[in-house]
Amino acid sequence: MTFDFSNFINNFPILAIMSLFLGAFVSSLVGRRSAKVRNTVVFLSMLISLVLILALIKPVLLEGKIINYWLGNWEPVNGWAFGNSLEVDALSLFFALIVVVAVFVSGVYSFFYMSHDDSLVNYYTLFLMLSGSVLGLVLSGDLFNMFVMIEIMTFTAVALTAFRNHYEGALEGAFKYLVVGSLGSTSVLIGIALIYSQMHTLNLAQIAAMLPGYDSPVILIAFAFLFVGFGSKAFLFPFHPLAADAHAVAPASISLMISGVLTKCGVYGIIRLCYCLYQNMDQTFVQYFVTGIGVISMFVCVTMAFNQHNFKRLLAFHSISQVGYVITVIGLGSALGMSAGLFHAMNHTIFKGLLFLTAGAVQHATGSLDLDELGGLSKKMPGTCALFLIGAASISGLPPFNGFASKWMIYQATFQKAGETGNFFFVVVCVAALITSVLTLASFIKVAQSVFFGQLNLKFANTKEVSLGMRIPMWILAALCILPGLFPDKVQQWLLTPATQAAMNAPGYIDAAMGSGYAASFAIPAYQPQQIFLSGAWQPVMWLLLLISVTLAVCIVALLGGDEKATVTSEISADTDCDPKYDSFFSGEASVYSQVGGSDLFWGFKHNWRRYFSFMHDWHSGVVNDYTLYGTAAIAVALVLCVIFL
Amino acid sequence: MKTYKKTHPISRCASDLFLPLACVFGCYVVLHGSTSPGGGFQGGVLVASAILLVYLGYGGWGVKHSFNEHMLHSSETVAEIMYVVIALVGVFTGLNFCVNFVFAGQQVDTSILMNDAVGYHVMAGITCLLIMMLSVLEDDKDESSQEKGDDAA
Repeated sequence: MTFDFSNFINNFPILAIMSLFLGAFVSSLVGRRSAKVRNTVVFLSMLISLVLILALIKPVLLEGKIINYWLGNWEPVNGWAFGNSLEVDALSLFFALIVVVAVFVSGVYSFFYMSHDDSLVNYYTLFLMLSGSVLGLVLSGDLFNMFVMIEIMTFTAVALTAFRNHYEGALEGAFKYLVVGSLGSTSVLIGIALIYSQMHTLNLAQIAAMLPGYDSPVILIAFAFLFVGFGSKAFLFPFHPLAADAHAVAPASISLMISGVLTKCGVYGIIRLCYCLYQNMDQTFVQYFVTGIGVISMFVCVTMAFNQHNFKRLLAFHSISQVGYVITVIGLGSALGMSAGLFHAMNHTIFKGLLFLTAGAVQHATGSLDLDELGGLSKKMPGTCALFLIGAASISGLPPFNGFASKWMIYQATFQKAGETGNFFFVVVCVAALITSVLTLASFIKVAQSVFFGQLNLKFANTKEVSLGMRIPMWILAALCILPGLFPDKVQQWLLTPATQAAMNAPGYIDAAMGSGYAASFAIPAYQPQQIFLSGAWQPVMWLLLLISVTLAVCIVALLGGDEKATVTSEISADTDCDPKYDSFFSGEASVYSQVGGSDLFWGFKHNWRRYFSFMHDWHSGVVNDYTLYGTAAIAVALVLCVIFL
Repeated sequence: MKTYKKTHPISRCASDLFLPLACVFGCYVVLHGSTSPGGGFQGGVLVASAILLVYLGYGGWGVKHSFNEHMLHSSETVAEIMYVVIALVGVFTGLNFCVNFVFAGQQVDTSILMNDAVGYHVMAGITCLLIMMLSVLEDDKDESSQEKGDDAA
């Protein structure tokens, strides 16, 4: 028997998923004795899944093949899919790439970051199961399998959130996540049950073929349930308080997973739901609905981030704000919007992962995440500070980093949509996206000022830079921040265009699973590839050159100015040693240590908005009953809207 | 010498009588899972429920002395690995994952082996859970401390 590689490549998706699960089981069996053996097993399983998914890039993304894999060779009979399948098109592979890279970086970081914790066998078992379930979710071709993977994902994430249960609020955060997360999972389950009752199948491709021509109020209700369920997994408004509570107490490597990977599962679910299953993205109501949710999440979370005093809580709110961007442009229904959304989803995982890892490094070195307490760490931790600045510049959308490239596309997508439809709603969306970006930048100036610059708190005088093993994963992410920002056209060509076309190409997805001509037999028109047209030009290399030359000029001027420090000499004192007693504002007392608190930097802004902020403060009560009520209300509102308008 | 809380003879006799029955019936359900109703999960739970009979007959002391929790935990992971490996055999024989192939000339197929793995896993896992729950009750300890108090009085 000759070895047929092109056929064997079909096995890669399942092997990548199983490598993670098998790694979880083996590490829990052999890892109790020796930490080295355990780390080797974990590293190998992550590496194998990474390599297997990378090997799929060429056939799936570049050559446009759709891998359809029937578990146990249970292929469809007479146009009915009875078996369980994996279906990997470019969209699935795009998200799978995000997942495996994030898992690999987070795993390597944990080896050093978690080394002082005990019962690490449990940690790595749960971590690998979380990774495997997320990978299984994005590669699945079966609706019920998606639900099973969502459940594994939610419960392992809850357990990992509470892993450092000696932290204040760890159990509380995990409990909130458990209760409200289960509400979301139940919503997905109800949606699946309703669809199954009408369609009598669970295969995504077959449902996608049958749904658009099917007229029943039941499937409208199912749409509302599924949308809210997937939205809760992406922590969209009003599920966002959960994310803040969970992120603040979870280990940094798990925060990376929750913000970078779990929210992407929700985004993936919404894309599949709207573009593939229901194919109703051309309806005005669905565009308003999805975009509206995105804009609200984007704006509410960025303003909430202003009020935070905890480094990771602040990052958590920004995380939801960036996911709001993704959902906003996905809701536009245009190819450019889809492309921008996918690009921003990818970039969000990279820069938010980097920021969470720097927060973890600060916590590892100082033991604190309190923005009012930290300060002046740039002298003690220069490497971490540089990495943080790269991440902060990326998330704020400064050129030449990746955040700029994707936000540029987002503005253009909303602008084009507003221009095409002439609808005032999309103008507001475009403006809201710009304002949110400004607020993000302001908020990260506050973080940089209160953690890395300013006066050093004497408590942290002995702080040391974190180990190289923790910095290498961060540098990998930093490099990934810079490269897509410099070469957005290559990213567009190799990753985004195939993934966008695959997302919009529902007939192709159906035919790959059920045999060609299946979609046409349900009167689904063949897909015409849409042009992704960017109206504005942007050359990052020129901007980079400009940036470098300006930096050089500043450096030269600074060097020419000599070494002596600029000092303000008091006019009263004739002495050279400036006695503070003669200073105009300090009446003879030596100045006391005063950290300009992170909360005070934008005092004026917050004062003007005090009504809004006090309302939001009361609204985020921190009571799990309230959050469950918000979740239930979201389901109710979605149901009413879908039944009336859809 | 009093080593454990004396339970009523009737409950001890009943647990002695039903313990083997529960185990055998559970194993029967696991082994016939591929051809009859039931299967790995249900059979595994039946076998695991035997620990409740031990608890009723011999109390927390009996449970502590007849089960090795660490061993059960390892068995659980071994069963998980077994399941994945059996499923992977399909891939490496040139077919798909989880494929139900038949060994040459024998009436054994993979679904039986997978059922066994699931049964083994559920048995070990549920037993672990039940031990954890029963250890919360800790009725032996309360009893003995109370008795000591009585003796001192």
